[in-house]
Amino acid sequence: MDLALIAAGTIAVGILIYVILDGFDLGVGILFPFAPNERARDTMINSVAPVWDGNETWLILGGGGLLVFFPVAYATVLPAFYVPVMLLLFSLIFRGIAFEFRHGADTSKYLWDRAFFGGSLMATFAQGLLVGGLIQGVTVVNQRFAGGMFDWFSPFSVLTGLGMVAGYGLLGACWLNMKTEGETQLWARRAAMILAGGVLIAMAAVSIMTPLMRPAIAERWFGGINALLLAPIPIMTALNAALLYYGLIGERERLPFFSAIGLFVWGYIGLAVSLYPNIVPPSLSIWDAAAPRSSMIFALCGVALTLPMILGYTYYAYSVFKGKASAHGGYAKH
Amino acid sequence: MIYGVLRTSDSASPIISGTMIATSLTIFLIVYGGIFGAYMYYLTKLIRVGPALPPPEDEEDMPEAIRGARPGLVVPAE
Repeated sequence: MDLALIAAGTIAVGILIYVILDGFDLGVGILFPFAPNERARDTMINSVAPVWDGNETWLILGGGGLLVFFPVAYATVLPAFYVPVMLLLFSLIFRGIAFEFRHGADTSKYLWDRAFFGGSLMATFAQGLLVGGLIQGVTVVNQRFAGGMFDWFSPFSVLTGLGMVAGYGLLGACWLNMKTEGETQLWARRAAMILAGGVLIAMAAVSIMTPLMRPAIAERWFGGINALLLAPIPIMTALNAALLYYGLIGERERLPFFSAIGLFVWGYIGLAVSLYPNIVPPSLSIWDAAAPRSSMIFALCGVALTLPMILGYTYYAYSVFKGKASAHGGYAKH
Repeated sequence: MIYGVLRTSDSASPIISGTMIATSLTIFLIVYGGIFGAYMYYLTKLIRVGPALPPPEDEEDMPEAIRGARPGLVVPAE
């Protein structure tokens, strides 16, 4: 078996799970200041309080996995994206502590509200910058990053950043549509309709700009019969978008959330099709970046042991906290 | 970094400049210092307020979730 492929698949799935799970709780943070009232904000924070830190575990799997399985990718991606990665880290610090301090604050509550919103927003934007910067390509010479500190900054990466904010906002709004009731739910549903429009525009723009920017990706999608073979991806994306609006207009509770996840999954598959087999586009492949066989096997054994446990407790946590969230209990004042 | 194999100076990134690292380290110090300040403020506030008086009724009637601020961090009953 091809160990590099297995490892890349594991990391890819881990990052996808991270995007979906932390996506909705970061989205709740992005929507935070726009909530109708203080009670709605308490409910919103309670709806993600039991699960948000577990959701971020998957980011550690992505980063740790990259270091262990693909050290060359780790050593080129992190210097290339030093600034956005630092922005991501600092944003996550502010957002994480806001959960704890907001609960204990009286007069300074508004500060922690701002930290929660600002941290969620900037963390999401930084992740979008990373995606945009990766699609653009990273200058790698002799397995080392050889570009400048701000290579990642471009109109395209700003577009993917904004698209990410709309996308996580959409996941958050659909999550709240599922987890809240009454006024908050109505507001979340309206927000989801607006944000879904933004997400679809951003997805369309990225899908058009990517093949124009990189001829190799255009060849991947449109060369020979590839266009026919890959047609299910855009078709399924469009179907998912239709399902999302159908669920929102029909005031369904679960359908919009799972359709929004579907939108992310198809977008992610599209991205994988564009970039494969490169782990650091445009030239560093998963085999170029792979660690020696012995460390691959050692680390894969560890993953095989811990991954089922993480999946198990994640499932358990969500089943314990299923149902509607309220403004009381959890982190709220009693 | 690895005894007898790799010197620290050889393992340092040639791209990330000292200024970059100094900048992010300074931000880390400021951020963590700020958090520590907020933590001390909250701690002194908690001490000033003092512990809550035990409820007059027997504690068995009280749902566990009310005694602890967070699920899983339930304060044990006396």
